[in-house]
Amino acid sequence: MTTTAQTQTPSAKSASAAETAKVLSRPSRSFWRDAWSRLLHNKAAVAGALVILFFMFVAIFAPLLAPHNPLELNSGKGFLPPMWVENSSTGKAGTPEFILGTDNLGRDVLSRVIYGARVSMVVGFIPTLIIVVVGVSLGMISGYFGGSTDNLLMRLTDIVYAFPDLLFFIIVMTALRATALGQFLNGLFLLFVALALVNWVGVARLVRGQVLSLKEKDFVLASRAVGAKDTRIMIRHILPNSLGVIIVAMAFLIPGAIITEAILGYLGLGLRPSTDPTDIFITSWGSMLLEGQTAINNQPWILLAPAIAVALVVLSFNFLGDGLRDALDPRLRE
Amino acid sequence: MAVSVDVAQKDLLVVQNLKTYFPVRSGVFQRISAWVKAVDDVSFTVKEGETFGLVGESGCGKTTVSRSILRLIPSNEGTVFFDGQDVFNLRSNELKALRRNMQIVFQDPYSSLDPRMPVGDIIAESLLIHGVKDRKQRNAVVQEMLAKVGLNPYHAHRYPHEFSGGQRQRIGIARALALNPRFIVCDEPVSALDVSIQSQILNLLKDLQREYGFSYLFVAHDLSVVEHISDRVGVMYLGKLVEVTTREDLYREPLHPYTQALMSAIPVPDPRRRRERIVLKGEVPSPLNPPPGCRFHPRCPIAKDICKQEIPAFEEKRPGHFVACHLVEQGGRSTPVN
Ligand SMILES: Nc1ncnc2c1ncn2[C@@H]1O[C@H](COP(=O)(O)OP(=O)(O)OP(=O)(O)O)[C@@H](O)[C@H]1O
Ligand code: SF4
Ligand SMILES: [Mg+2]
Repeated sequence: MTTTAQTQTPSAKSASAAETAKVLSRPSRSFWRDAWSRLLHNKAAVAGALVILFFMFVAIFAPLLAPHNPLELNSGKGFLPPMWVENSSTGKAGTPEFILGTDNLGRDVLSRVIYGARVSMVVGFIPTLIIVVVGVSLGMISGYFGGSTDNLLMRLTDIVYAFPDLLFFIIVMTALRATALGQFLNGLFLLFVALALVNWVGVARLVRGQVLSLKEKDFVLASRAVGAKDTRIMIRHILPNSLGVIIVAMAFLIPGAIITEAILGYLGLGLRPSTDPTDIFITSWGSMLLEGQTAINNQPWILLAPAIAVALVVLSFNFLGDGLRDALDPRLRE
Repeated sequence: MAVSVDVAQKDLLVVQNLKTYFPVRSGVFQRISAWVKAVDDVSFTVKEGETFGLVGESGCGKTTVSRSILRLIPSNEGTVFFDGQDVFNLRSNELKALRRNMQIVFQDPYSSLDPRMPVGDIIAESLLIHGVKDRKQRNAVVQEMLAKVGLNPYHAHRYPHEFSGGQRQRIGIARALALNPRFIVCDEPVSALDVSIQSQILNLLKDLQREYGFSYLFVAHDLSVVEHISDRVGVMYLGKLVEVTTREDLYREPLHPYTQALMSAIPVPDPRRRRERIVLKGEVPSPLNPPPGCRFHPRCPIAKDICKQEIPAFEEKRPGHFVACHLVEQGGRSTPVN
């Protein structure tokens, strides 16, 4: 090695020149760009994303898209089957005026499904955002600083985990339904809070685990060696490296929340049914399931329409979540 | 060979009785039940501009020494002076200022670079932290450093996964250089690399030292790597230094039985100079429960009764030649191995 000392500079240069040529031939790829292109190659995930975008569009523009007022009682036009059914068990024929038929009160099923999308989207996204903010912050602090804070938080998550989720939702939604809190946003606010209280633990634990493994990495030590403070290390190094798993977790939290709303709605504990046409949230798919259930034998469409909508949205989120997991999983990277 | 010990050279780093233990926790309450004595009473100095090689088998505590010195992990006892400053007793702003002068190159080229950061940002992070607010100025330094380590300007925009192991190590070196430090710890900077790349990186490190005149603490797990780069060498065994001297003295006349065993494992091209290979019996014991007396005694080919009971002092047996062994006589001949 001593003998090659004089010749090192040229030899090092030429070696790196060869590698350079290799590198030059392709565009620079950040992790995120790579992940994005992997996601776009996943057909199920793209289809799922398109369906989700469609439902988001429907939710936002519900008043423009709904053919009828979802609260309007079309007297004499109840129990109509979907337009393509010519002779239902009620002896009535479908009409193009009510594409998916009407319910027992003569309300347009399609318009109600369209309005129901609003609740599902909001219930999917808003609690998830709260959960992620709370879960990520607490998980980071817990994992990074450790010690008694960590102990306390982890015991708290144990307790939350040990309590059956659905039972908690039922108790909270029943007990507080009559209070001001339970009436705020037609009961949705209470649902957000309940969902957040239960689900932050999963995110907090996930992030804590990430932090525990990341904080031992040499690049964190390297950053500390040049004088970086804890906040910088957390925000600039640990968070970006945890973002992948956080995004995947979000993608699976959303359909979970939508299903919870549907179940609670079906139990009569979800959205409070509205009679005020100026309300943003008039009906939910969960409430429609409850309404449709009584007429399951004679007018299955009343139940099927919201059931299919829920299934479609949840399935789409699951496809997207799977795609995101594949795209963001670092183990698949060379 | 006292000639090679330049007495006029100033001590830049002085490590005294350094001890770093890791707690072992167990039980439901995660109580501390034992200590891993990873570094147990280590003292040495690194002079201005020199390279101090630290050698020892895997797990003997080399990385722990490096990180303790830089205060990247807490130590239990001992002191470290850097240019007269007591490293373990600094306020946070003083410590931050000190970090400009003490840098580190890591062993693992994969985990030492943040995979989500472009290389330019990785190199510039230290500048940002130390108040170089102007982006242009930072970019200029990044470009300069990339050139110094043999990389290209456009590499600044690429991500770590786009580079080979050797190139990543160059990036790590560029990061360490950016603040223009006076002392760099190289923790086995080449052991994860292909043999063909190793000498390139070693030569790069040597050239940089010639240009900037900084000191290295150069960690390696075998004597053949440090032979070419070190001025003085320290040999570690199970958390303790067993021998420290100049490179010439060490390779000419290793005094400690452990050093002699390590030395015999280096392949020598000249058959006439072939040393008898000393094969050590047994495994390295755990630092969780080190042997009493001399930690090397269960494996030492010449151990006597005293070795099992008394810890040998780390003494200057020859001028500038420190050894921790009961059987090496003061100023006398070397140990009668075989
Ligand atoms: N964070 C830690 N917690 C507990 N024990 C540790 C920790 N870090 C290191 N050790 C232990 O301390 C001892 C010394 O480890 P260290 O990494 O310093 O060795 P090393 O000489 O650098 O080895 P290598 O050549 O494998 O890098 C080992 O027994 C190791 O298992
Ligand atoms: S002190 Fe005894 S056991 Fe230890 S190295 Fe010397 S001779 Fe061997
Ligand atoms: Mg090591």
